[in-house]
Amino acid sequence: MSIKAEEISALIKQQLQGYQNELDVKETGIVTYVGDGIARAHGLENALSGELLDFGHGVFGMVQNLETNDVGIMILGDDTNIREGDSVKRTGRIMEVPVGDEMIGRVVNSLGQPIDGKGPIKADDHKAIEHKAPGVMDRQSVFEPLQTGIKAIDSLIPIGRGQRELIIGDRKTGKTSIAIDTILNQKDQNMKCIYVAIGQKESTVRASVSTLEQYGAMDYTTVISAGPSEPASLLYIAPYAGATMGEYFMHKGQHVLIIYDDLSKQADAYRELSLILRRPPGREAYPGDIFYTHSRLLERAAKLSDKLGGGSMTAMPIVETQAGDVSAYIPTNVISITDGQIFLDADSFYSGVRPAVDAGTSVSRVGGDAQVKAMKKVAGTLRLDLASYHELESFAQFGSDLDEATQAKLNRGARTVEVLKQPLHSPIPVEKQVLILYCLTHGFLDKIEIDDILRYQNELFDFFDHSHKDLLDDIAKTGQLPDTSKLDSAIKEFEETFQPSNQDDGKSAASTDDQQTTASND
Amino acid sequence: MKSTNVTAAKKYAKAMFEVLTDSNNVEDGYADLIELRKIFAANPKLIDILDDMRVSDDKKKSLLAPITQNASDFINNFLKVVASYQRFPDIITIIDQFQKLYEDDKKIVRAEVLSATELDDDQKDRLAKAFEKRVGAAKVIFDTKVDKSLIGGIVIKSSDVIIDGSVRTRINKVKELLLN
Repeated sequence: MSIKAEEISALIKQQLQGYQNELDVKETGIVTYVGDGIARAHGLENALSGELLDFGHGVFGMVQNLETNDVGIMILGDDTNIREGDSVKRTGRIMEVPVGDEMIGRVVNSLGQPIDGKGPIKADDHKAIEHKAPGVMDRQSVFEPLQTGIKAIDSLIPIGRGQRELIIGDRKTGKTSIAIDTILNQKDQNMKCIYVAIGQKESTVRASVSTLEQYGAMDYTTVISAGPSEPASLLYIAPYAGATMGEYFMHKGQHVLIIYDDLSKQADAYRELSLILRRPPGREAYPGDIFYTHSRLLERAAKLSDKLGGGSMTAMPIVETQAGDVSAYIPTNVISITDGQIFLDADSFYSGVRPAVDAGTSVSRVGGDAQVKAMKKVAGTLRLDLASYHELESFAQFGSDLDEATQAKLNRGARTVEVLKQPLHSPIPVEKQVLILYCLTHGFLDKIEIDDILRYQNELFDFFDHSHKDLLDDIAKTGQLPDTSKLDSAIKEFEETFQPSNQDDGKSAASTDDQQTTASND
Repeated sequence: MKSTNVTAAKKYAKAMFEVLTDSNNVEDGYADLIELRKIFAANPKLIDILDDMRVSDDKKKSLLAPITQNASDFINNFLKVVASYQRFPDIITIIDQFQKLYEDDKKIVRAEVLSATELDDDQKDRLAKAFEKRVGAAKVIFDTKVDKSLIGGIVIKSSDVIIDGSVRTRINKVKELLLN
């Protein structure tokens, strides 16, 4: 490498031409208190709420409280170098994060700085983290489906692009897994995904990113991580930063899926800040504006009108409950803000029904319009089937003689539960979901042993991939159910080749293994 | 705790200022208060004793006697009010707030001037005139200091504005420009 002094000095000269010798006039204040991630400062008489302040040595703060004698500031970063008596400058700007295509595939912190060691990000643009949500005339109804690739969700609780669907459940019930699987299924769906990890263990985030990388999902995903060791202020702003990055694509007419994992931790961070800023505590010690914190965030998810390019941002916030208590403050708030919720049940999770979606309490208020016609047809009775099954199930435990109709209902119900089970990180395309649900609702599965259903499903998918691809493509393309006689005959053709596993356990286990390897090769 | 005292002090200061304006005694009152502030600032223990519940009122009175004997009615009344509301710990803050009000009213601006070398009187004069014009003040009181690390130029700090024309800041700016 050679250094050419002339070239370099020419470059420097060029840059220096842009330098104008101006007096540096700054409004300042004096720090009177600093601690626990917040600071108070005297002066700064003209500071605006939400304005960014410069503490020097690269640390910034955001104005939170404007009081008679001082301002309360939340420090965005490390507060150890800030001392009482230091001066703090106004910047006249509000908090911004980088946005653009450069952010895709990166892991960044709440300020948009890369933390994945892949070098600096040359962003196209910077945008304010707080942004007003699209108004009434800027929106249109949700009508395009967002396929999660999870049978239990796409059939029972369909989600549309631009919807806000809450994932709620106790700790360790698979909330994050649903979110990650949904991201995995957006491959080649013309979707940009943003995963905001708020207060998640760094190791968990690392594992999630590895999963996304392994399945090639980082090609269209940005991960924003505000870890538990970072100041509460960064946890608080992380979802807004994510929303801003998503909005950039939405306003360009693209489709975005954003996951906030999870909002209960963000609420805790905001509670911490508010209490230290001496704002009056309300219910569960949350500040008075905790509802607004979440409503203004989720309102930014939208399906834009065609005039604005028709882009969409689908939000999937996650909220953790304590011992299944959905009537706590944050869960009720977020349930009332969102367009539906996926409720995960700890009991069914531990009894092996995974994903542990509780069909009774989960709803989607707007997604029905977005569901593909074929799915609507095959899944129409599913919810009822499940409800009556769970009702009968408790009776059946008494073990008395049951009439045939009841037996049939119980059989169908048990198979429905079995079909809706799905292993981790294996999203199923919608046409195959339609296929297996068609088999279920048209009674093809009734004579199959429950233990065989998973194998039946995998072999059926394989069979259709090889021999009746046209039927699957037809569903995928038109969204309509193909000619039922053709479908019926194809399934019957498959059934002739299907070997129900008998008492010979060793053989069936081997063949299941075979199937699993072929399935994962798909 | 601290901020609430400032709030209270502002109210006392405003009341005093209004009383003095009504009786056309602002200048005398201001001068007296500045003297009073010097006394209290020089004797921090005095405030502690005056605030102590264990010391009888008579003793407190005798302590204050040297001040009250020669003072105007206004200062006497002020001390009485402060005593009866137990605001002695805040007395300096109250006088500071009064000073602020007084200076605001007279358009006097205080500023700290940092320069790399000692300024001569002519420079100070010109600087004061220029600064008066800029902030629209009638009078500017400079507190000049020498700070060699500025290299050249001056920095003016006034209440919550910093006007930075130092060579050090310019060099830093050039540094930032080149690094980005």
